[in-house]
Amino acid sequence: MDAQELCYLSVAELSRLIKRREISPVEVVRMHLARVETLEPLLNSFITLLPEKAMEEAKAAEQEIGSGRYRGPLHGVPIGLKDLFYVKGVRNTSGSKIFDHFIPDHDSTVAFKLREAGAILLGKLNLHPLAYGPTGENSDYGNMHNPWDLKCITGGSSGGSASAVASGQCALAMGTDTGGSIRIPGALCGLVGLKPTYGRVSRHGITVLSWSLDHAGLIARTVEDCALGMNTIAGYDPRDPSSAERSVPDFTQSLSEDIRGLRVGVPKEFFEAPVASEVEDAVRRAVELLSKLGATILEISWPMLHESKAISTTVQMAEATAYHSQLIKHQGSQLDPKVRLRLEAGLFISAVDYVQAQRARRLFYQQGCELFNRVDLLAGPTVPIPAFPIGTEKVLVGNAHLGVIEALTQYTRPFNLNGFPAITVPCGFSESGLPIGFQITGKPFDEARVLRAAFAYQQATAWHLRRPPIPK
Amino acid sequence: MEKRGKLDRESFRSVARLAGLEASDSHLEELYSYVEKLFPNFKVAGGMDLAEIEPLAILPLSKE
Repeated sequence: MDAQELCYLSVAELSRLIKRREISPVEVVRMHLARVETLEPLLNSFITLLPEKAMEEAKAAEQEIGSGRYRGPLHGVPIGLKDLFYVKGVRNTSGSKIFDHFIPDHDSTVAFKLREAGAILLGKLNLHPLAYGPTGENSDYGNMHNPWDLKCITGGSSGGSASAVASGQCALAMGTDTGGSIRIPGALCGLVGLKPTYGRVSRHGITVLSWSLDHAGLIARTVEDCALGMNTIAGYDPRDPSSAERSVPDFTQSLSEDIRGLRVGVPKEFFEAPVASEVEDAVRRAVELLSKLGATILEISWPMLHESKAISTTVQMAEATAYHSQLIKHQGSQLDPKVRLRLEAGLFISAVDYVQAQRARRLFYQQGCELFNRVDLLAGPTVPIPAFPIGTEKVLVGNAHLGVIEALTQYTRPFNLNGFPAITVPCGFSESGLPIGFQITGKPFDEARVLRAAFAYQQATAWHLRRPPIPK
Repeated sequence: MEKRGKLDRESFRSVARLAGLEASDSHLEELYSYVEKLFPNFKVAGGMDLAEIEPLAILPLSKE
């Protein structure tokens, strides 16, 4: 097996080899670090690399596994964390030079759990500054580049997480998602991105953007890898006030059950919104395939979908501005210019506007629950267009010229607003060779069923096996 | 401050001052253009029929 093949093994494949001691974590980490060294000048996926620490951890993992103390499927597997998950003793920039020297004195719960599971941290991944933007452009640490076309955006805000996984620099990465920041880069880079239910994965030790909309989740190359990751990171955490006291299933257990009889709703509003024809075609084919696999497809209506943009904009901007209020006041001029504008704009949302938005949010949530009385899952596009060149301000989506934020987030934001679980899986490529994403969502805490449908789709297709045209 | 979901310059300046926003005139002008476009979004919920609806401060998902 050559180095590139090894770096593109899924977590599941890699862990089987590591468990059987057919490959050493030291060799695995060394090959990934070599790939990082080759590709970083092109992709700029990382903000902080930890090669020495990673090699030390790999040696420790090798010893442990050699002496029969295998910890589980993430043991010895190289991963990356978006640079807003605190890791004790490792700087945490949140994608802004303002925090260039900030070193947390404690771990985020997610980082702690991943380390306990034996995962090996290669470094902290680049992101849209303060996670406040969906493109993956960063004026402080440099733009992230899409491995499928280096001129194009990765999507954001977890752009480094997506470009690193898509290019085989690490097997699995963590991201956060406030308006689509896992699913957008997942879709634009041809990956699987899972935003679990709000409260399922702890937010403790993760830089806040919007308390009530932030979710931590996974970016991987396969659905199975997301399930393996969920088995490690999900669960109640008393240090996160919004953490859910819910039992956590084994997310891999029902993965390969068939999907016959599942009711999949396709809101007609998804295709009344602006969407590129090649995206619509790919997504409709994906829905058709779910039908061939035994699911029952139902066209449904989600009347409040249109209002969700304004409601989530108000909630997100008010909360982000409140969280960063001191930064705006004292270091505003040091912020990325576009992020600064977004943060300052939140000052013009009145308390009444915010409360009205939270009232409307309850209606939106209730309508979502009612939808799920009639269906088990919803399906549709993740992003209405493929990736576009870095620096683009407006994009043509179908027949509409939209601002990039509006375009990129139109299908993802509703599921931050209601907190329901959502996954993106690759479902095709544009004429120019760029990936297209298919979004499947479920009812609260039903990640297992979301993963099951996504797994069934992925097993029946080969989109996830294509590799971006970057150097070996 | 608001007429039919619009924000005029004078009200914008006044809110900026109250919020303690110190910035150059050119930056405030840029911010005004940005906020002016977003402002109608902030007013959408207030225009909905929300009788008997309480705010969703925390998503009601946390307990089994």
